Amino acid sequence: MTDLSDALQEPWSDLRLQREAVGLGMWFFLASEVLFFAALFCSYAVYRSFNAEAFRIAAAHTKLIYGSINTALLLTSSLTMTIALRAATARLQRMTLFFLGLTVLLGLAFLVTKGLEYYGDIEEHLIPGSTFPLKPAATEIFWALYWVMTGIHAIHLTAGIGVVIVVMLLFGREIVPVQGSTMEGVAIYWHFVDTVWIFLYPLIYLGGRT
Amino acid sequence: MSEMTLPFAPAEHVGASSYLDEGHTVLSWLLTTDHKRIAILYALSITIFFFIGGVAIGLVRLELISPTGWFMTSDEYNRAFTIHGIIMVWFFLVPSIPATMGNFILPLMIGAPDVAFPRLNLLSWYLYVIGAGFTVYVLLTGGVDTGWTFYPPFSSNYSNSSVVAAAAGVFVVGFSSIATGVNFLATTHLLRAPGMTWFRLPLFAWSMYVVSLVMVLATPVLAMSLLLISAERLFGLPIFDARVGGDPVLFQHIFWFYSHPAVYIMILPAMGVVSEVLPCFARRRVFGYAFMVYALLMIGIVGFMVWGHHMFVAGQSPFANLVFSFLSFIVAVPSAIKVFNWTATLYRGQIGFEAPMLYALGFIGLFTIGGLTGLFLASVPIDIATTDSYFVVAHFHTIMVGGTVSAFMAGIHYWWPKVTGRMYHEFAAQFAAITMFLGFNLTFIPQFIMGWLGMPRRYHMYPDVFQIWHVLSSGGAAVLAVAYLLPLGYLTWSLIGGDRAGDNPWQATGLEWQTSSPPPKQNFLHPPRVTSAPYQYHELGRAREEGEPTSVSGQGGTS
Amino acid sequence: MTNGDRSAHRLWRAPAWAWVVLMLLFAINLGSAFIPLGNGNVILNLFVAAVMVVVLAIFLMDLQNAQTLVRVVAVAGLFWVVLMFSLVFSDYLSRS
Repeated sequence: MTDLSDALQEPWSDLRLQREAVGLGMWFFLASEVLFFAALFCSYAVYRSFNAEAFRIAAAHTKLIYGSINTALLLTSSLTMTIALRAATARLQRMTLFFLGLTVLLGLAFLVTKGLEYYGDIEEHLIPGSTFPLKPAATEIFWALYWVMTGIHAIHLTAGIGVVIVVMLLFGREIVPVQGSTMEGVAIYWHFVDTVWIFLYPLIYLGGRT
Repeated sequence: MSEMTLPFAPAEHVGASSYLDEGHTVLSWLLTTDHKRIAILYALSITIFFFIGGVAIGLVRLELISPTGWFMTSDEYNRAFTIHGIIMVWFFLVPSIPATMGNFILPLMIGAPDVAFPRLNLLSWYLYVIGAGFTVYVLLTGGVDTGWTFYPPFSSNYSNSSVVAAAAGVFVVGFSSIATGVNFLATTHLLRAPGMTWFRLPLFAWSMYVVSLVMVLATPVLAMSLLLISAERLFGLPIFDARVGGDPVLFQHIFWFYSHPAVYIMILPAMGVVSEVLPCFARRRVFGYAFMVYALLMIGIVGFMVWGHHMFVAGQSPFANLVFSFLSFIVAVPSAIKVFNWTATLYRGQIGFEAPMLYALGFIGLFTIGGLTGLFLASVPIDIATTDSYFVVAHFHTIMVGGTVSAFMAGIHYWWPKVTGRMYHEFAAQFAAITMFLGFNLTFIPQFIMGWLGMPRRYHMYPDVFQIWHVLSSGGAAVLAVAYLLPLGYLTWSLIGGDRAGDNPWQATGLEWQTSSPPPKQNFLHPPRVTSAPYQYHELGRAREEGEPTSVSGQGGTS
Repeated sequence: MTNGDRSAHRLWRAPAWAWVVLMLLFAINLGSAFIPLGNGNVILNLFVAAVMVVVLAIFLMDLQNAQTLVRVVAVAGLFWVVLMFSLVFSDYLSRS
């Protein structure tokens, strides 16, 4: 069992206070991430409100099955991440690592699915430019936003997966004890990435289905 | 409220080390997690970029002496003023007071041993350096010519310059801001010393708190705006492209959603510094402390609701123009309250004219003028006539240079003894301050005049009738350049051979003055405990008049 | 904190229920997309998405037990998003 003092970072002298600080800091960072995506969603909202028909036509070409599988994967990964956090708080190192591992696998599955989806989109020339197949012109805006929104989300998810892998190594090698403040921050971030997708999914995939 | 002498010997006398003695290698600086050393790393970096940005505008002002230009092409001219704007806004003004004085002084001022996340603090400096690296790359590849505002479709489709690199540099340095903001917010919430309640915090600490809120909430929106034009430029993704139904004004909405609060990021810390310097050198408590706090909060919050005043002539609807104009008038109110309260602080004071005070007094005058001209611009009809004229240029420089840079200099001089343990040469500093004030006015009053007369901004060539004003303005710029170089001289001299400073050379209140100059690495030898409100200058004065022997306190003591 | 109580089921039971609710809401969103409701589709979808995020925040992110401050921060982020949307749309909706 690792010495609890390993978990303490300067300038904190109390682990409970340190955990509170990391949680608070992560929520402040999350507020900035919310604003980051808000600008993007606001752009989407503006364009959709003026090009409803074009967005409907454009959205009908998104790959609903891939998007839905990804939604299920991410929601499940939030579950596994929550269990990992609770296990960590209960000092159950092996259970924590198991559920963190599951979270990573679900995240990777998301990325693989997304990759296959992107491949399909590219095959259909759904990239704005000279070979773009849809009309009217505003469908290009939907698809430009599609690539940016899903791309940035995927980058955030990839970063999250990377962080979880590093954290698993730190816990596994007992460099950092599981009940420290690290899990707090990681879990909050992961749930945020899921939250973005929860909003993104209907806006990208559920239009134009009737 | 209590008057008490420090019951323990100040660190200097017992030979405790200063933070400067904890390691002398380059690595001990580059890998430090000490907020004081990180503050100095930032100070050196922003000073370098201040001078690079200054050289850029020096070239511009030199060129503008002639109405037809004389050594620059129009393309070079565009690149020069653009890089001036990008560097000054993001690599000097935004980090200036928060990353240097916020980093060094905030933990001391609240009685904390460091910031909440020291390693994040170091990371924030490295993010600044990486962003700066992109900017240096931009300089070496011929610059960027879009103006610091990066408007599409020029930036996304037509510019032949290093737009994406410049955008990347700003994107990265933005995360430095966000990291600093997150750190300061957590620090203020969780690391205040016992007895330091929210309404006992000095106004500088409050200003750091509010500016951190603004940095955290506004900067990511800038990041997204730059990401979108980069995506449009690099991958041809039409986000703002009118040819497929996109709207370039949408970029302006997203960009200015950040860039207006950004100007509050630049002024709030300056207000915080002035609120520290003024009471000290007037020997009076701040008038209306609570209203000063509420004013900071109101500026920070309402500042997010006025960005459309940059877009009155861009195609925004008249209704939106009305809304943004109204809110812009509202946001002036808390700033005015602060100016009234600073003035009232001086009333019946014993005014000292040391350099920090000269800069602070200059701030009040110039900020007032700059702010009043802002009211002109908040009025839609006047703005329609003066948009993109030198009137606007003079307005924002009066606030940013006359305001923020003056306050920055005030803070540098005020806290210099604390940071370095040395005093600077007072007369040289006073001379520089006055030179700066005169040079500033010679530079920018002609700009107000010619703007009103119709001289457009960002113009390389202009009608002869404006030449006299440009020549005066450029002359003023030369005086300003001298005034900015002088501190480099006498402050360096102070480091080498200046008098050693005591713990509290200004007889100021505040926890940062209750520890040695320079402070030890852990800031306080004994954790301080706060028992009174800030700015206990009235009590000090009363005690001195009654002949009571006392050392300066008001806040602080042992635990 | 289950300090000393190592019965694993206490760790996953509540989150698992939250997951079931989330999957149900997801199914509602997906299913309703095939019912022609005009503008109602996107409104319903966003409403359901908002409910999902609230469930996530309360039951998986433990927001109901969090410090007041954390809840303030969460709400503040939302407030600023609302501000952005309203003022931007005040321009777009009033353009002729």
